[in-house]
Amino acid sequence: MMQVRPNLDYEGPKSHQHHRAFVFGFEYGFLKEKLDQKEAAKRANEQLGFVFDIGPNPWSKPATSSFGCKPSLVKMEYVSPEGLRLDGRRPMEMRQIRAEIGTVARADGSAVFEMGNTKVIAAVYGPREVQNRSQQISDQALVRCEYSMANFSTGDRMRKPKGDRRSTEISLVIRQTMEACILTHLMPRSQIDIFVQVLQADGGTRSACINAATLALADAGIPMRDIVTSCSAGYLNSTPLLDLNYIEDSAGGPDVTVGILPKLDKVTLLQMDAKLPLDIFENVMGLATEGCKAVANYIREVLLENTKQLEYRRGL
Amino acid sequence: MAAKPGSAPTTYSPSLTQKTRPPIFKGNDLDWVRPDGRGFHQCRPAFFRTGAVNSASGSAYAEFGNTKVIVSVFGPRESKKAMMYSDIGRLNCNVSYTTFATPVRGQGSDHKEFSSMLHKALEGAIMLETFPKTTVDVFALVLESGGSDLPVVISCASLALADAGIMMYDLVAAVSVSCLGKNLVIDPILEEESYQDGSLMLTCMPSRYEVTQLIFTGEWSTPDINEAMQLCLDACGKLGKVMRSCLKEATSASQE
Amino acid sequence: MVGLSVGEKHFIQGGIAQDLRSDGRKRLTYRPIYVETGVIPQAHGSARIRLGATDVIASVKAELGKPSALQPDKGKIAIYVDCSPTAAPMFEGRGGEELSTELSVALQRCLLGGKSGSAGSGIDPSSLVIVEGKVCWDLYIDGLVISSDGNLLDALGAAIKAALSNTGIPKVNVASETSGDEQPEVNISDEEFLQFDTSGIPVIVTLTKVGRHYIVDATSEEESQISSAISISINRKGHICGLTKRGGAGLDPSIILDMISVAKHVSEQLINKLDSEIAAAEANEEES
Repeated sequence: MMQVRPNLDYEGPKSHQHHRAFVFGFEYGFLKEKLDQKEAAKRANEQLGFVFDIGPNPWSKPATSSFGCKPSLVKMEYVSPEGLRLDGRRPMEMRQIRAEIGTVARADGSAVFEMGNTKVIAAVYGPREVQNRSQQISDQALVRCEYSMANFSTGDRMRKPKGDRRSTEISLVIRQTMEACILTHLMPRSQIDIFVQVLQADGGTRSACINAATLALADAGIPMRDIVTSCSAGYLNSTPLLDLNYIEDSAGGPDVTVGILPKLDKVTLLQMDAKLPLDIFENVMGLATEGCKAVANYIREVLLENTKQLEYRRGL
Repeated sequence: MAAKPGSAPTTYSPSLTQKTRPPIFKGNDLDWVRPDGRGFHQCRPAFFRTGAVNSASGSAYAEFGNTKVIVSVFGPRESKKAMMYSDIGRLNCNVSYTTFATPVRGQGSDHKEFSSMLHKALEGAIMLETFPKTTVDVFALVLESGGSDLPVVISCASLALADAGIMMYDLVAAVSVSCLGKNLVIDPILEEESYQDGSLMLTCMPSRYEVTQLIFTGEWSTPDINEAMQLCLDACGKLGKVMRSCLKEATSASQE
Repeated sequence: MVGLSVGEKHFIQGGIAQDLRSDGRKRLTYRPIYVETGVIPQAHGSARIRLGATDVIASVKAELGKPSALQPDKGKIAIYVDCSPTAAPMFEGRGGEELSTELSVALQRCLLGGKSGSAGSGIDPSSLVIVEGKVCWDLYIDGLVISSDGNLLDALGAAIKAALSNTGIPKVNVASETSGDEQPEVNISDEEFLQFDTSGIPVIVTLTKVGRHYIVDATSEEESQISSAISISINRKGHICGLTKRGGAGLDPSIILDMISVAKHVSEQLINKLDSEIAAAEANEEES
């Protein structure tokens, strides 16, 4: 079990932006005493004239039941009073990570990366001749990326058409992140393809994809400035949380994804899709960066082990 | 084409005789009759005519009972997509259904695989090396679906290719057989197809006696396979003759 | 796709003629099969099969649905295959769609049998019905090609067989008898699971004809040399459950019959091998 407990002396400030949710949660709890939960939801709905869908049952174990459905306005407890998260982790604890190199035999480089239940495969083809001549760049390599999700990767089975907006966006993010670390000027007039395939999605696919792509690029022997590692962090129940899973991710709170070059100590990717006060943001981002560093250590170990194996097989 | 009623009524009055069809299949009794009164090993009368589309390099129309198909062939012409050089020609096939082809409107879309099956059935018969760097497009349109659509499309397409003057080893004739209970029925209609336990489609080049495509579904034992294949090969040979005579007629008519 | 020189082509063909292929196998030997079950925790059943460098995953998901009006006593089964671009750069974007459809249709034909659903089907669709005409299980079988080195159809067929034997469908209790058009209320049990009887599911054997000989389990180099290939699905009883010829030149009918008999012989060994591998994988999964 990988555990990250960066020493951030941070005390969760008493919530101000979750104020309304608190009030609402209180009201809901109050009603609960009298009525059964479904009734309560209906009543609350009518009273407030609010249209929302109530999750299956906010008090049951959400680990399985609320998978795939957006938690309602009803306040959910993402961190228990004992300081434990829904899946039993501490706020600053990462999910178990596992990586394997060389899983796709026919690719030039490939890797599997798992973060808890999230599992992605990355395959790298290249550097090779540019397939579409018009895209050729005369002084550097062309880097391309495609992100795809397997039909069975999510809780609800859905058949999405290829190239929807979300996957196009993630493809672009991964491409730009990887392009920043590949020494493209060493391979002019050539092309490098990175394909990432999500087998299981449980939050943090973006980060997992970047980590898998790094390993695959290293496996393919493509010259890089440094490895890129990525990790996400969020802020829920006035607590910064490292490495959000699907339920925490779909809670609608801020989700900061950070990608760093650990040796150079530089940030190459930073994404957030909610508002957060600046001082809290610094803490959350710091937490994510610590996560990235932990991932970097692990990735380096895996690469080292892989190189040892190669050395051993060559009889050196 | 359509059967004329005995006495031509002056006003249009739809008759309801078509609507009350007897149930076609009851258990394993051997005495059932096929809905259109054919014998088990009797095909529907085949009708072929070439030159149905003027703008195409070659075309053909085929009608087997209620199944009506039109195929047009374009090319050999320049490949539309910028593709890699190849020293043999390319064959591009597409099968589509009209919206009114099936009893329920617009239900012909679940036949995506027909295009690739048509391609596979034809590619073994065409001398692709005679038109390097170019493409031949085969567009088939099912006007009315009345069962055994794919075999009719394939036979009709090979006739259209011949009409277009594409070099082929032989015409391709296709026939399907349905297995209903213990019985093998040749050239099944739509109703029989929906009740079938298994089916077999065979396309072959009759003069060369070679099979270009063979598809089985359902469970078959070896003796059944032998019987069904023999039945299909025999029917293909006869169908080939009909197709050949259609081509001969067309050329002799144009010479006159 | 696979660029081979004249010398390489000659080498492959010569090896096949001498019953010694370039990886040391005989003409009718499969590559070693590795089976792993339960690889996708969200699915009701899943399996991963590796045949040399070919790597596929199959998952089975069951959802409650309504049976079609035409066949109220049968559940629905659908097979979809996706070719991931990780397998080959040519599958990028819409590049894999054509192959995906072809594989899906071939699998549907080989494993699900005729339209009536009774003969030649590995899974009995009437076993999926909960309340006739109202509630049934819809079985979605998804295949994913992760790495491709020839013989995808056989590998996918085997993966689906393994995934189905790994599948547990929750037991459903119909809460109360409802009349008329009302949808009956059902309770899905999360403790009791029903297993499929997978002994009737056929295996798919693809015989590739190179020159005058047939080979099984062709690698992609060998596949580029085919004159024609036939995929045959055969069940334990030795009955043919589906057959597709996969393009190429025409074949004499007697050769096809000969290929069928060879495939039957090969399928017996394959079924036994696969069953023991599946059993081993299941035991392995339970241990860990």
